[in-house]
Amino acid sequence: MIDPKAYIESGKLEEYVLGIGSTDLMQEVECMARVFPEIKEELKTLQSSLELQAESSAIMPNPDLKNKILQAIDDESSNTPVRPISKDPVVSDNLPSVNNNSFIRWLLALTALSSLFFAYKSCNQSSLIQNSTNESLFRETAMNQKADSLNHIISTLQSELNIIKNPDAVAVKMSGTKLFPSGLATIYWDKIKQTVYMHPGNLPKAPNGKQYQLWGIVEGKPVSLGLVDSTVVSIQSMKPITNASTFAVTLEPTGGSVNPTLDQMYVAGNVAL
Amino acid sequence: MDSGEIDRLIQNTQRGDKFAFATLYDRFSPALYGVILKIVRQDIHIAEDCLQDSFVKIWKHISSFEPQKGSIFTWMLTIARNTALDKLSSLKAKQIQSMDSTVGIEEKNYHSTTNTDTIGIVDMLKRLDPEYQQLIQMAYYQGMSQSEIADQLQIPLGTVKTKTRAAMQVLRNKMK
Repeated sequence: MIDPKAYIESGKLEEYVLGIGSTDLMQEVECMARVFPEIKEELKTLQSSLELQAESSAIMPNPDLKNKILQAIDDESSNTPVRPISKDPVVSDNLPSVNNNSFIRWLLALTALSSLFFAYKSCNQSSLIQNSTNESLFRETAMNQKADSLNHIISTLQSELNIIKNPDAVAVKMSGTKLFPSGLATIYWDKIKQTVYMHPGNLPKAPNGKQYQLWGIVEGKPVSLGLVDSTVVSIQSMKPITNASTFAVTLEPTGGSVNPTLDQMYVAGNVAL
Repeated sequence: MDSGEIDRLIQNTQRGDKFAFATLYDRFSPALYGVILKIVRQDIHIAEDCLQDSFVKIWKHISSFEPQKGSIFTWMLTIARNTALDKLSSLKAKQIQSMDSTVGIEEKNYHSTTNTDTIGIVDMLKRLDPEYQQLIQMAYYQGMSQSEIADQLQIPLGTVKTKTRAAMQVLRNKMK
């Protein structure tokens, strides 16, 4: 059995954060950090000390560079970034039944257990068997990936569950307009913390060159609450707002608009008084 | 800017929101630029190229950023450091081909110290024991492996390992 304290003192974590370890070492440290919270904590502290070191020697770049870089990413824009792992079918398939708390809890427990098992197994392999053959290396990588994706599913489910369970949050159902009568999406709005989360429900994938934008209507005026990712079926964090009577989603050109295109409204819902 | 705000900016950037990306640029570019300048020995022209390449990579790959593995700042620093180290080694390879250019690097190296000193930043590294300073300089800013460091300083590999850990511990404790 590995002693996490001895591991912390081995000097491997320092090699990891300085970026001078071998690929094997990098994998091993990531594995160990997943299994032992104290190793993860130490790794975080070391990383923050390098962050602080970087802050202490920060130098403002030439201001013209910003526009040059924004121009360069405009040229890249045809391939807009999308979070790939959130597309995981397990997440999206289970979301509609999210009210079924016991089922979710059961699923969480199961995934937590199996991911811990995978993570621990793969660490043991990488640290104890030095001369692993190509085949076992391949299996180890596959297990690492499995553990990674399970971890991701757990953390997504956990954070979604927290948003839904939050006693201070009101759920605002947005139903379909004439344009999309079967539409349904939900806002989870915590008026105290001012946080706004949105579940995109059954919004169809936005066509190329378009993006959905969420609006809050405050004293009759629309306020943009950010762009919606319609390629994932998971709860998304939107811009905070203190006061709104209505929430609505419109389809806008990529990058969003200053004012909503009203004839492109897909779903809308009033906040219950 | 608190961590909740940064998380929201990351999520919005992942959705293709350029305003969010520009805000992340404002927040992190000076720190990244400082690190890049150290790696490329204060050559502003190369450093600006590296900063641009780093942020284009950040934009393109932000979907693969995994918060469980570390903060966005650490993730960005890794991208900037690797971009600058790669750039430097490809430039060195070119310079070795054209015989007389090694002088160029030395000259820039000389310039660097003057530059940073004029700006007068309180650099945490500079407050570190010179021996520790050198180790972190060689590992982090020059991308040397521990055996390369041992070779160059002509000290045993074990000593490099112990001292690197000690140097990082000092840096770590300076935070508190």
